[in-house]
Amino acid sequence: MKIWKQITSVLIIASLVIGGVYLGDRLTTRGVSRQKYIKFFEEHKEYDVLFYGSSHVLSGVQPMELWDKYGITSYNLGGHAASLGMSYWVLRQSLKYHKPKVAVLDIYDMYAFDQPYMDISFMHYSMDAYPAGITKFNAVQDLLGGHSTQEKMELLFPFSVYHSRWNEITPESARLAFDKSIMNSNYGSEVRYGVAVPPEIKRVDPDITIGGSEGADEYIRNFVSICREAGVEVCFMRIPYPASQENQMADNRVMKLAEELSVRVIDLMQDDKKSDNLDSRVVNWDTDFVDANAHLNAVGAYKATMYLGQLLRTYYGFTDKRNDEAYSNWNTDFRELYLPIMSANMAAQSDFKTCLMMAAYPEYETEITATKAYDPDEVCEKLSKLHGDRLKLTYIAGIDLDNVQADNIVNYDLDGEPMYESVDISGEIKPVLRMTVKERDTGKVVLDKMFVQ
Amino acid sequence: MIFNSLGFLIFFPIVILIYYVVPKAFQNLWLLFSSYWFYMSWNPVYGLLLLGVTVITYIAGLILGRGSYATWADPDERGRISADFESKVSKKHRNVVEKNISRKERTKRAVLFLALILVFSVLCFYKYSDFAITNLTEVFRHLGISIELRHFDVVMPAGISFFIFQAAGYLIDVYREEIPSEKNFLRYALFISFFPTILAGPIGRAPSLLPQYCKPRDFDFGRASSGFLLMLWGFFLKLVIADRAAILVNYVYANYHELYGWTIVLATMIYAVEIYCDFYGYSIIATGAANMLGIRLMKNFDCPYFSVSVQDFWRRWHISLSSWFRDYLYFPLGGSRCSFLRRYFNVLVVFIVSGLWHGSQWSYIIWGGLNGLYQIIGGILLPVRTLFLRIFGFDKNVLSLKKNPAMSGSMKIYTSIAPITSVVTPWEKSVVDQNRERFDEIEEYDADGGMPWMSEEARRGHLRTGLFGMRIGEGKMTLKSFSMCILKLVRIFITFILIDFAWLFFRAAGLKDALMMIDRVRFNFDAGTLSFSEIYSLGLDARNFWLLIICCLVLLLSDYVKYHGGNMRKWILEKPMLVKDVIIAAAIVFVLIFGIWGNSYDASSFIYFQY
Repeated sequence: MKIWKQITSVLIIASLVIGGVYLGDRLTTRGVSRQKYIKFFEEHKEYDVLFYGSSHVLSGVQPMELWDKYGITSYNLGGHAASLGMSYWVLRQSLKYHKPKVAVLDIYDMYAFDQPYMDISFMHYSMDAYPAGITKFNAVQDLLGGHSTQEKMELLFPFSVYHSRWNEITPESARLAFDKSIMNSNYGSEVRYGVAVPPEIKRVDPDITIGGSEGADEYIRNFVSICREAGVEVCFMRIPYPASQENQMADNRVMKLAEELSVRVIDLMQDDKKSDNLDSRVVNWDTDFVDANAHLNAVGAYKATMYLGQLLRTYYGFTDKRNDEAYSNWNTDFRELYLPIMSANMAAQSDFKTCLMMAAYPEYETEITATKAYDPDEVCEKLSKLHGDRLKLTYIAGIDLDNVQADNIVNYDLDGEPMYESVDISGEIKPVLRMTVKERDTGKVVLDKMFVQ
Repeated sequence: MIFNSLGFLIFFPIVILIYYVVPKAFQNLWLLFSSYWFYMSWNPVYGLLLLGVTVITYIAGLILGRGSYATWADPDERGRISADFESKVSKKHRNVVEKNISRKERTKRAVLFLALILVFSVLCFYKYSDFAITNLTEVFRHLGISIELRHFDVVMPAGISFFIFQAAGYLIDVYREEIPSEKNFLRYALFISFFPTILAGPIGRAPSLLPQYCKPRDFDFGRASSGFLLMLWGFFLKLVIADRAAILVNYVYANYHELYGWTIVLATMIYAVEIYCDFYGYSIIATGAANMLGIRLMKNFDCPYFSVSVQDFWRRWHISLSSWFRDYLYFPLGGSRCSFLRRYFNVLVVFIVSGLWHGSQWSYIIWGGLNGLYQIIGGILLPVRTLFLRIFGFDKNVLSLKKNPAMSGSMKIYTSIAPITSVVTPWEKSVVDQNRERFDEIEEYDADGGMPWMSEEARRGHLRTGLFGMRIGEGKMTLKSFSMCILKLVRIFITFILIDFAWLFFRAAGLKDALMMIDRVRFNFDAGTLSFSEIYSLGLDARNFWLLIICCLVLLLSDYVKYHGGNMRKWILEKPMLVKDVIIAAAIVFVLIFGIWGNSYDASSFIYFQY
């Protein structure tokens, strides 16, 4: 009797501790990984495509647009600064939940010399959402080989690192920690706001390759074999990016390996003009990047996604499921989650070029009234062209300050250069244009801003 | 492997599990294996050093123990466990000294001398060689002699000061014929390497530890629970208080030249808490772990910051080391039974050596010397202080620790150190005597102090000493008792200030830094800049700072209860099962959430590992 009492006591303590740690974990953990994966875990039907890779994929492919324009179901499992090794382990873990028809792996930086290591803080983004288990343990052992047990623990039990955030808990953060409606509404992808022009880079001959980390080939081969064992078709992809010459040579090496492994490559960096400088038939080098080094902005990602969707449909024969009742939740998510959040994000921008870029989405129509002082530069001109007939530009003598529906405060001038904080344009400073963006279907105004030159 | 590491959290349950599963005859073997594994996980090569010291002292012990009449059946063994066996040791020691030294005795003395030289040479080589070389080079440079002495640049083995002192203590005890030599090598090796204590003590004594390894240990749920609670309390002190305090202290001590003087005062006060919680935390984790293995360790701390004098402080702080120095250095030097000049010289020597034991830096020597000096000055000024207090109507014995229970605080001092004097009422004495038998049975659950054996009646009787000596039990508070209480609080405060000032030398990166910090406090105190926003910029944000303060108050409360004879651990274990379980689980979760551990922090090792 006594021993049972003792055992019960130990079990009660263990249960309470587990419960307490779970609660503490939920309250202190950074939610981005969990939020990214909520929809992925919730979906019961199999995906057509899953995307793997680094931040290039993360910001370069928009599953919701792929759905809305082609009826293809997909999820973006790319991770910030994800190494090839990380993509391999994300594949292994994700296949436990879904077996897509096609797994697409971006080839950026596959031959980085420090494979498979990556910054631990970025590893959390790709791994925290997956529960601890044998696969996760093996992943940590592999990705952090030679690192301290404490660092490995950080990934296996994220509570070991996040508990230090107890001092950041607020009633609001506590509420959000248990709110499942706070999630990645882009089905894993991240939209980037801003416009930057990358430098010109010479194109490298496709036959010139470079050596790289020895483990990289093995990861690529394993990625392919794991997919094939699971009955998943595998495909490589190159998202447009201003690749350095070394990057291009590394990419060339992957292309050759893909040929050897009979893996299809979707190269979005192919250039019709065959010019000496790097270019892409898919995106515009002047308007579609968010930073000078690598990532596509929202409209660049939109273009890449449209092109990719067409190829995926052609190569793999995906049927359009938009009218399939079983997939009605995807239409609902697009209408009620994706679009409102994108509109809200657009309204939150203060840079004219970013607003112009975001408004280029086919879901919107834009009206610009400008004074003669409005003098658009080349990038603005190109962004305006993206709108086609959905942009109406009218020149007037002066902007009416009294009839603005949204903000009349801006932080940036037309060149996207930061001015000083919160310029009140109702005073001495006169606006040169007013931009109004509406949803095409509903006519709802989502942005109404004025900008100074 | 340290206690606050993942390795230990895996290692310890495995050790416990196997320890209680294997046949009892193999328990010591398994413990020895585990202890060497524990020690060698830090640096396998130094396992050989540990083995070497063990073999040397084992053989020396066998030689010293030949022909000895000492037995393990020492009726006063229990007194030794609590480190209060002053009279007995000194008496025996005097007997040895006064005996005619025979030839056999001379041989023994030579063996002891040789063995001690050998083991202390190892300690000196690893700990003091570079310090000595640096200082010698400096001396030569001042004399105009240019000599390039090569530094050894050796990494000091963890815990070397602890296990060498433990081994040396054993040899001296055998030489003094207070204990027989240990014939069983396995048992002796375990005594030296016992993993809970090897890295930072408590420095065990052979008379209390070796007999425990002779008996088989059965699993006892009550003892294991008590040990677990001790460990939990230790982790709270280390992870929640000490390591959080360290963030502020490290920041201020690293950037003191850019900060206001008051920040140094604040950081030094917080350092007093940090080092206490760090070392006390380690000691009770060790004690708890040992308890779970059925081994009792001596108490290492006894509410040191409630000390009413520096002398009192050193009876309550790092008791295992203080008592080691007392028994094996202070008494051989002549102790206090000599001229007052010689006595003060002895005190100074002991404290300077104690400083040197802590580290090979001048700042440690100054720290030790300062503590010695405090006691000498205190001794010299005693007549003046007594006179001063008598003018204000206090009893002539008011400054005596032994004769005034209101001053001595903890009941255990009545029973173990201080003779029962007329100050303790006959009623209190009888209660102590009646409960002595129970105390014998239960003491093993109470290695960290407290008095679970006290009846409610006795407890109330004891609590008549009340708030730091203020007698309130009889329903009236006299002016005298109130004055006593105030006097005691003043003495506690002054003692804390003195001890804390010495801690500045202990913590500073070196003597030069310590002196510069004192200058900074003197000339750039800038009290006007003192504000919470300034405090929050010292490495701990507002929430962390207030959490630290709240936890310090919890510690203060716990020490206060312990000081007055209470035992919070027993109080928890006596609660109904569900209440007890909820308290324990909440404490575990609290430490896990608020503790400084994991990769987001640079988890600190225990401070005393470096000694």
